Amino acid sequence: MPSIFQPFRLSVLPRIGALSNYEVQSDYLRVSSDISPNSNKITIGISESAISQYILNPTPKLLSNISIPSTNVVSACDVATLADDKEIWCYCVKSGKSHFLNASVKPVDADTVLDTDGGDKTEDFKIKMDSKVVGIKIIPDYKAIVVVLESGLIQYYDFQLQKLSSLDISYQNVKVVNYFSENGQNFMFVLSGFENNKVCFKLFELLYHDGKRHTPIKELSTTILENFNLDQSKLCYQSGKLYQLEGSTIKTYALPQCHLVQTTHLPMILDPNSQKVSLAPVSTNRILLTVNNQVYLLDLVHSSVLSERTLTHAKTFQLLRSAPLNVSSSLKGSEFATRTLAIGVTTKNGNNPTSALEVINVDVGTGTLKDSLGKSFQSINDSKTHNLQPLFSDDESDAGDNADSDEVVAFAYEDIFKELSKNNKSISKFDSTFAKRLNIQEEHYTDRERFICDQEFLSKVVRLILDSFDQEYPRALTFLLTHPLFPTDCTRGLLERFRNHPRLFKQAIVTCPNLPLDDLLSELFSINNGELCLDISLRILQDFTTDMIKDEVKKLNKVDVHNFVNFLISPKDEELIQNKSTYELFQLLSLVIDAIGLFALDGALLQRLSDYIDEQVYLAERNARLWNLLDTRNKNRGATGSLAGSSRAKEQTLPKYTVEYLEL
Amino acid sequence: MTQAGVYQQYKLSVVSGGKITLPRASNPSHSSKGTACLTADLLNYIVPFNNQIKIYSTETRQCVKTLKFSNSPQLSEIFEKENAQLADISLKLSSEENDLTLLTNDGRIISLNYKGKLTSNPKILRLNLEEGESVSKIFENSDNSFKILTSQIGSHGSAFTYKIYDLQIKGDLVETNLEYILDDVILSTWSNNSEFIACLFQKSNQRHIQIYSIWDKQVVKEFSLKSISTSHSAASPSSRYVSSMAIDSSGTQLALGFASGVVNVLNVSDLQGRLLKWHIDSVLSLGFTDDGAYLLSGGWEKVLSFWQLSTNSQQFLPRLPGIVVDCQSLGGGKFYSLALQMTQNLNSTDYQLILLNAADLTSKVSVNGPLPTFNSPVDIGSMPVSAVSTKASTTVSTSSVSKKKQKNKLKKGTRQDFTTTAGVNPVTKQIFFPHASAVQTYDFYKNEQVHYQYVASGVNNTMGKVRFELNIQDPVVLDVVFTKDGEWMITYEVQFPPENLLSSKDLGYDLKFWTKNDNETDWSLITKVIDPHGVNIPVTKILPAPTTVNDAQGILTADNEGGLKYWEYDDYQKNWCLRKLTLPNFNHFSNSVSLAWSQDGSLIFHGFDDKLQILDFETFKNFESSSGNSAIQNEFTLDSEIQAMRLVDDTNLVVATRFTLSAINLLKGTIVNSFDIYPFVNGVYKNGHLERLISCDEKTGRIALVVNQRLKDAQHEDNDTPQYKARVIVFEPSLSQRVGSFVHPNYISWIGWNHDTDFIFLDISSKLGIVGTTVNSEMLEGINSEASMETNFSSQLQKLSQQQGASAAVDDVDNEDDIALDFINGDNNNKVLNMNSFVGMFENIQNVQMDTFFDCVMKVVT
Repeated sequence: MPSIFQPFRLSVLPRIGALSNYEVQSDYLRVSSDISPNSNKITIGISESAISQYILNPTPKLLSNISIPSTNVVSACDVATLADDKEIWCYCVKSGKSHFLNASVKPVDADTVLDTDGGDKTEDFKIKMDSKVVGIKIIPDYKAIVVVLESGLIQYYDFQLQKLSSLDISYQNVKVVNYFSENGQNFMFVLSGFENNKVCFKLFELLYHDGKRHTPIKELSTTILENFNLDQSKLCYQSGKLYQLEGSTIKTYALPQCHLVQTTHLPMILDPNSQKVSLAPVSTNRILLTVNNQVYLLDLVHSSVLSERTLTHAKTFQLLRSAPLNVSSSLKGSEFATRTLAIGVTTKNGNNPTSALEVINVDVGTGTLKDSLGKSFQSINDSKTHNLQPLFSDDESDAGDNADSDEVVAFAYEDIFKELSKNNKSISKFDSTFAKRLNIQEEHYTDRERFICDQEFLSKVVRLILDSFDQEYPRALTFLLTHPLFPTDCTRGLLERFRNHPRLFKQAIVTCPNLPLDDLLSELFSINNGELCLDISLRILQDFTTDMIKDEVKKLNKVDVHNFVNFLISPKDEELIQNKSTYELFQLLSLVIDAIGLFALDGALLQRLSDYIDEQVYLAERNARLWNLLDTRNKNRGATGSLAGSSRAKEQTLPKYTVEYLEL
Repeated sequence: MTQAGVYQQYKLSVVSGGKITLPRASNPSHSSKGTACLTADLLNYIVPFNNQIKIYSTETRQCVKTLKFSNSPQLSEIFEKENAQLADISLKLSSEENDLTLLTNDGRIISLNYKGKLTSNPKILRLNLEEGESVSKIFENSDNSFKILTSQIGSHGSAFTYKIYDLQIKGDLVETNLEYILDDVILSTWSNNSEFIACLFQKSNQRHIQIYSIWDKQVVKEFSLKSISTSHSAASPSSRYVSSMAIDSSGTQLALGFASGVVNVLNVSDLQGRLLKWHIDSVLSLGFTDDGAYLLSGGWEKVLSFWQLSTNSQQFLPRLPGIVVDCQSLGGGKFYSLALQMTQNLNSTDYQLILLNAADLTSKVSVNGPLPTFNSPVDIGSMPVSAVSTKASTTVSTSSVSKKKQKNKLKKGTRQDFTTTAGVNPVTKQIFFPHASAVQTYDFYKNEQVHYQYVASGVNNTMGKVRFELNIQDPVVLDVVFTKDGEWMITYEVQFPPENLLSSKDLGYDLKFWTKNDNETDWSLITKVIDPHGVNIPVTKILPAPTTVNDAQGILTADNEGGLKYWEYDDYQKNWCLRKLTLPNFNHFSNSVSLAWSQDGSLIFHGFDDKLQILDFETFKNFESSSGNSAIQNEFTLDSEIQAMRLVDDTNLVVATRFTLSAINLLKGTIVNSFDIYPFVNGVYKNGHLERLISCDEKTGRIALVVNQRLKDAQHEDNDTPQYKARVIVFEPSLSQRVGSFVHPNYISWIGWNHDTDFIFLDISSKLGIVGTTVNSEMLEGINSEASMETNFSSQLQKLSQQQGASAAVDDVDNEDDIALDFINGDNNNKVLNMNSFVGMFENIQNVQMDTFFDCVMKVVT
């Protein structure tokens, strides 16, 4: 089930102003792309401080570290594990106006914690770059580092930082780079902004660099997106979808062509200018959204909030990177883990804020309708009242169409409710207003009243009646009890309220929908009126399945149950005997005994119960024997001789006894 | 949420389907019922339908030409608006070559060219007929003179007055001269060469037979039936009841078939007869070959019998698909044309025409239309005469009674439920109609029956039922459903125990799972489940699983007690197995059961009576929210019994009750839009049958609803059968907007989605129509060619990658030499412009501004 867990702290960040500044935080903290839902290591390039690797379990702590000068800003960072227990760290720093690409290959040793840099086993490489590096991806299979420069160059390097290949994508100002792999192939897309709020989207396939190809980078598609403000947008990518959050609207683009498929308004972002917003993908169609210190798990297909959490200890929480779960949308997904993690930075309140890296665990759920049911974030209360609409509009329905139908009535529910509220002192006034304004002719619901279908209105009226009247109720309530759309939220406790109003009590039991089972059962077990007892038992058996009844009986008081059993099997009052349909009561008895267990009853009661059942069995046997004596075959043989027009078929030999004469 | 897409315009048109008409079958006095004929060159077989004339090639056995009435304004006026019936077809009446002349019962003569396009306006002439007189047959002579036979129902019962007119057509003038009149005709026949007509008629309470020579204009012979009767008076009435007649071309032999099954062949000259006994039940059809050497006879046995009259030896053609109601020799004895009736369908008259090659009796053209089984009888077609009276047959005494009864029922009943059910295979797009114990596969686009397979074992399947066997009820297929991948067909049938037993009311229910290889025609049974929901509990609804559950190989069944079962195909067991179930509620029964399943497979919506419950598919229990903070409703109570439900997209559930059609937004848990359908639905359909009139396009989420209305003003007289019209309304998924509303001039009994962009519907005259965006009135080509747009991202990516790979390969050859130099420097000076360079741009050219586009081009070029 989808949920967001309480985040835990990885490390407190050094007190550097930029790291606590929300606007630049995400540019100064670069998390390596090698995190996966169950990875235990996270590598983060912390500008002006170090490239640090942390271990998450059993307790989060720093594993190894490469210090960088305090003037250097990390613009990209990636880490990959190589085959022979080695790890390559690759990062780019900006020092002054120059950019340097660094790579260091070093052995992985799980035991050595805090392996200081400059160890003798480490090989370090460093080259100067022409322009800022916006993306680094190490592809161990290709033995290559793919680097994207802001100037629009995509370059392949080997692990010694020898340039293998380069491609100019002919667009400058590359802002966003994203790598992903599908079916074992590697892909990458870049977004580069140019004038007039336009953005160029390019999708590439990254191939193995074998020296034979002209270039290992294959351009798959190019799209120019208009009205796309790259600087003010937050972007994230997840299994074929690119999400762009600008202001409080989130736009979904579908790759590979990057065409707009959906625009959703997020109501939780009230003021995009002052609120601190970030987002990260977690699984198919689901993203994490943070607004100040609120974290939401959103399902964008269903437009629903799957889960939310407020981080009380921080002022803002900004997501840096997450490990998206790639689950197919089929149900089989639920067999796999649904847990993933995201890393972010929290900033505390105060004049001199401190920031900390925190990891948040997320259960992303299944992404199905099940998780989203009833959790829509789109505004629920459209003020428009609910009225039935005619199937055909006036202009196209020719004479015969609506002739045989009643005029479709639209009620002004608010006005009616106001008028009713004014008249809540007098029963007769209330009733007359109710009947007149809603055009009710009978005291019970008929198909003419189908136009009264606004559940909110009904709910309000029922509450009004229940609040305003106590000793005597208006007839309107009787009508409402027969209405099939009687509001569910008003049914609880209704029976108890009507105990002193036998008419309403019976009406509620017979017609009122959605009566809760526990109310019904507790009434059933405490009642001593045979007729009502039968009504309630009928109602229970009709509305609820045997499993539900058993579960509910188990929760009830033992004494009540004893009373009920006693009531059923004791020499009963006349009404109950006359009502022949004791079958229901018998059935209910068996359910009750099933639920509480036979041996929960004491010996005397059990003895009487057994006698009672014996008696019933005897009756049943006797009836069965009598039944066999009867000639029930009063139908003659098919159509024999009908051709001859013989009268034989018409002569029906009446059996001597019929079932009606038998006492059951 | 906004959906980027082009607004689609729906259209309605009737494109195929139709029913074979046997115009003379409605008139019990005609022994010869078929009007299908062969062209003079014997290459084409002309078959009349109620909405078209189809012409089949006798060599290729395929339909070569369809003359649809709806394609010509005049013809549609005559046949569809004015409800004229086709009476006969003549190929000689018009002097033009390749002209076909249609005669209607109200005396119109329509000439049209059957080889060319129907654009040339048909020539229409009109005969002057008396009130109640209708045209039955045109007789033609080799010297191009014509006579017309008309019949008029007599004062009492089933006797008719026959008149023969001489017909002269001069230009636009029609002249008729009355030549012959005979009252109180009970049964008639005529010879193949149109020389003689023989009539059985009533004269002073005696039955007589008269043979009249049409061209000589004289009565050849008249004798009383009693004079030739060999049986004594004590015999049963069926041995005296003549059920069919035939006369040979020379007028020398007359064959009388009796309801008892005896055929009496009379020598006309001396009235000496001999009895041919083989049939067990009524002889329904007789026909002489042209030379008079053979007599063909057929009846309830579904066997065509050939009697060689010189030797009395007999040959048979058994296992015909229906009882033989008409047999005649065509094309100078080279072909036999049979009309078969499928009496297992009690609610409409289904005919099939078969053209046999007389030489080998095997090669045949077989023609029929879609065979739906309506919920209640739709037409007052007559059931053939049998020795016993059953639902599927009439006897001497009951024939007129049952017809009247039926008519009254149609007129007065408020419930007008003529719905039917059908399944559409998602892959082949063929429509499957359950037809008694069989399933008919009909191709909508080819407008032909593709296959007819018995899926339940019944007596009827291999041979005809006779006499008391007619009382045996064969199993009936009630529903056909396909899994979403089209691999599996699921049939649901009901079996009736023999009558007059204590257990007679204990119906048996079977669920069968069928699959088929591509190269096979028959579906083969893999799993059969007897009483899937327990003894005597019917299955009320079957729903195929969405593709996300077990690769679509699963179904959900619901019973009338609120129980649900989930079945799926198990690869290991190679069988369908029950996987999940909920217990029924034993005290509440309802046939208003509907099901819907979310596309991701996680939730099941179960409508039972007026309650809508939401079940979690995984646990198969009522849905319970885990978070528990907000009480999410897992149960809705609606205003009345739920009739149908469709989950249109990820958020909206459209629910039709007896009162309203509403859209429930599941995410908000509220009803968003509702329409009042009470006036059109309440009391009209059986519980749960409204489901058949609602369909959902699962790709776009659009909903189509059919509303049938009885026309009050069209019913002038009390005796008229009710007229209907239907409306098809197409809604947007949340019912917020109506996309279209269409009128169809007949009752629509079923609508379904064709798994493409269109809705297919079927009306009570078996015509198939389409409400869709790809309407083409001459739709003969399948639209199956283009696979649906790829929606899966990874496969899309794969495709793109391969495409580029192919083009890159071309580049490589050209530039091999330069590679070594350039690739390290990242120069792209030698960028090659070819046809692939611009492809990317055109892939999403919609809504792109001009300067952006120019930009793109420049980037590629420079």
